[in-house]
Amino acid sequence: MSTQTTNTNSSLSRSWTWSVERSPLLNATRWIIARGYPNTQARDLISAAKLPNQLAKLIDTTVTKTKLWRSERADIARELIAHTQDALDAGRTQEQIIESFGAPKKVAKLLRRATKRKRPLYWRTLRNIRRAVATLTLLIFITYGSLAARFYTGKPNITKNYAVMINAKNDAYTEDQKAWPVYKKVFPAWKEHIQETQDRQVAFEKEYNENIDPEKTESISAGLFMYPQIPTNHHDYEETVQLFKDFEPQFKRLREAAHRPIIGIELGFKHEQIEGQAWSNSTPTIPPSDNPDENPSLINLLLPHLGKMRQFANTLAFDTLIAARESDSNRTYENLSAMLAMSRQKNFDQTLISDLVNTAIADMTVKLIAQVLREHPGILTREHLVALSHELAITTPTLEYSFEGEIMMFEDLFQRAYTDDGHGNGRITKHGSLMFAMYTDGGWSEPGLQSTPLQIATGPITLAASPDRKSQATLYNKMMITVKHVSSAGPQSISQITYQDSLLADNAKNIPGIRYSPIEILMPALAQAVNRSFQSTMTNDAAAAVLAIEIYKHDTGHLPETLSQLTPNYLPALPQDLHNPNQPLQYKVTDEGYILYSLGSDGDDDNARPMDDDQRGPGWSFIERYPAQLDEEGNIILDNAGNPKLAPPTGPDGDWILYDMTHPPPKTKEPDQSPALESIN
Amino acid sequence: MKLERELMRGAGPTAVLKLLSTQSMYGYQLVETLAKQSNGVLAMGQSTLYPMLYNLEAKGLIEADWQAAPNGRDRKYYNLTGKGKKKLKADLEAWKKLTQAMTNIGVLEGVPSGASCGATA
Repeated sequence: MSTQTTNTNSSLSRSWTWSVERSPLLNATRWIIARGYPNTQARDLISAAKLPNQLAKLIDTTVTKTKLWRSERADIARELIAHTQDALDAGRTQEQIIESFGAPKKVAKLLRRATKRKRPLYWRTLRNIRRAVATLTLLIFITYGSLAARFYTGKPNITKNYAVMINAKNDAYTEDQKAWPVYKKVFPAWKEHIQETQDRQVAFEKEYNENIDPEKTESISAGLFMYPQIPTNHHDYEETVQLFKDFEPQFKRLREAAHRPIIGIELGFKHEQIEGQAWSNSTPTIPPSDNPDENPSLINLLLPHLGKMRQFANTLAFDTLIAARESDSNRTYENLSAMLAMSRQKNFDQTLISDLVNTAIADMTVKLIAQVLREHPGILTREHLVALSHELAITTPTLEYSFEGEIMMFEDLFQRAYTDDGHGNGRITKHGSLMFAMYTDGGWSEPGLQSTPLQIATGPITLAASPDRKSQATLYNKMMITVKHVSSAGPQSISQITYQDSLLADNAKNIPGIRYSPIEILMPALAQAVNRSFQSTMTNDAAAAVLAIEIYKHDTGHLPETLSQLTPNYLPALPQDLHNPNQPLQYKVTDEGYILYSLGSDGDDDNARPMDDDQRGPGWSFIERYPAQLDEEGNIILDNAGNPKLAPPTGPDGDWILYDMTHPPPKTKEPDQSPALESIN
Repeated sequence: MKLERELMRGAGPTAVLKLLSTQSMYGYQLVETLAKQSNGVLAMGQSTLYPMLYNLEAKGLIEADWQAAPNGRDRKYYNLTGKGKKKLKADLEAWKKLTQAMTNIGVLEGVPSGASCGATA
């Protein structure tokens, strides 16, 4: 019976313990309630101890000031009560006990510090994490604040007005040395009488090329442009010829202006207003003054002369064909001479696009010379050939790209985007950050740039992430030095630029690379530009050889058997095949004439068999011809002289036919057989 | 005479550990014993004693438990742990060396070892 009772009691006790004392729900409730009354337990103990008031109050105050957990306060109170009771039992007076106790605030602080050290590991870990997070947050806040202060107070110091500096170079020349005043006057008449015919010719050309058999046709495009070749039996032909004849007085002005040494345009950022109406985007501009308020970014500089020169060159090209068909020897020569002169006409903006336009006009002209010589043998006199030869010789060296315009644009943007410490360094500003973001998004207009909330918030981070002005300039200059080195060293080192371009493009895709996004925005495709420059050099050198061959033939009555027969009397040096290091261009004489060709980007001689792709594609590319060997990390392997070790060429099979001077031209499809022509007719 | 704070901070814990090595003691008992045995040099109030005890407890050198005293009241008794015994041993060694060093240079009363040799000679 007794055992049964004990068991029952034990069972009840366990049930009570589990349901009341250890119930998680009740414990949680107690804990929450207790948090609101942390002194309750301690005060109950103090009250129960029945200590003298002063001592009870002393312990209460001390325990309250510890600000510890409820259970900890109770434990401390219990121990201090025991201590005080022992002291009282030992005969100590209240005053002695209070004196030995110390200041409650100080005691509470010491007790608090020591008690916390006893707390569980998880609590101390959490506390340390909290402290670390708080410290980090504070650090970030302070860093962000100081960055924000630097970012939002940074002001650029715009000291140079590059547009004014460019225009000032015109001042060294007299008015009759400048072509632009004439071009400007000729343009309205051109627009009225010629533009429509040219548009029609270009449309014909486009359709003709789309429908033509590529195996049998020769491209008549030259770089950026094409000159129209409406066939003589086309219904527009007679009308076009008549319009061109009517335009002859303007042609005379154009030819004269083309021989002036400089373009002489006053560049600006706004179009000239005439009678209250804005001209189209190919119209003259208003040059800026020295007024800082009229100093927009150079990147927005308008270059209206480029479009006009392109159109005039096309027009002169077609007039050359008309003149040749009419056996007008002098006009044929004068047009070709004017086109060459136009291609070397000096522009002071020195931008890559200007240089490309000049190169394209030169390429178009030499191609046209070859066409005239092939289709109209004897139309050019010996004197004409010699003169063109001399003119070409002075044109070719002018076709190198200086990139000075790009460098100016870079410096101009950086003086707007960065602060200036007076020693070439500075930090990015709010305006600079917005400006680069805008250019990245394809925008072009700076005025009125406004920050989005996200940009406001992340602006200071831009400052932290963006390398300073000097670092950006150093990288940019390094890239430009490589470009200039390759331009003078020759196409065999072109992979240095290709590699540089690819590094920049790859870097632009990752976060560290984005830091240099200003350079990525401002840097043109340098490898392609330099490749184009080399192509142009070879095309022009080959054209010089064609002229020499024609003069030789005129003098001897037959073609030279080899190119070396031309030197030195007809040609100062053999034209080099830049696809075949240290070797001249290939020269093949046939029953119909001769072919001047390069080995092409596959680097082997295919006996003048053209590539399928005879455009300026991979077959002509020095990038395909001279790829560099790369190590495992993708870096270029250099030889002892610092030049890239070359990998096997990757260009397509076949040769680059520079000039096919066989008669009749085998690759030009007869226009009257063209389906496109039939449809137009 | 009471020790300065820094000296108490160094000497106090070792003294407490030493007392607890002989028997379990409660707070007031420790205060009284320290004051008596050190002639008041190591006398300390609650503001010094209890934080010190809690720190020793936090380090695992001592442990405490509440027990009923003969007078019926509860007291918190402190005992030396195994870790505390090792610490005490190390502290005593350190104190011996320190005392010897202080004696040798004449800070503590006694004859420096060098002078002793000279006198013997």
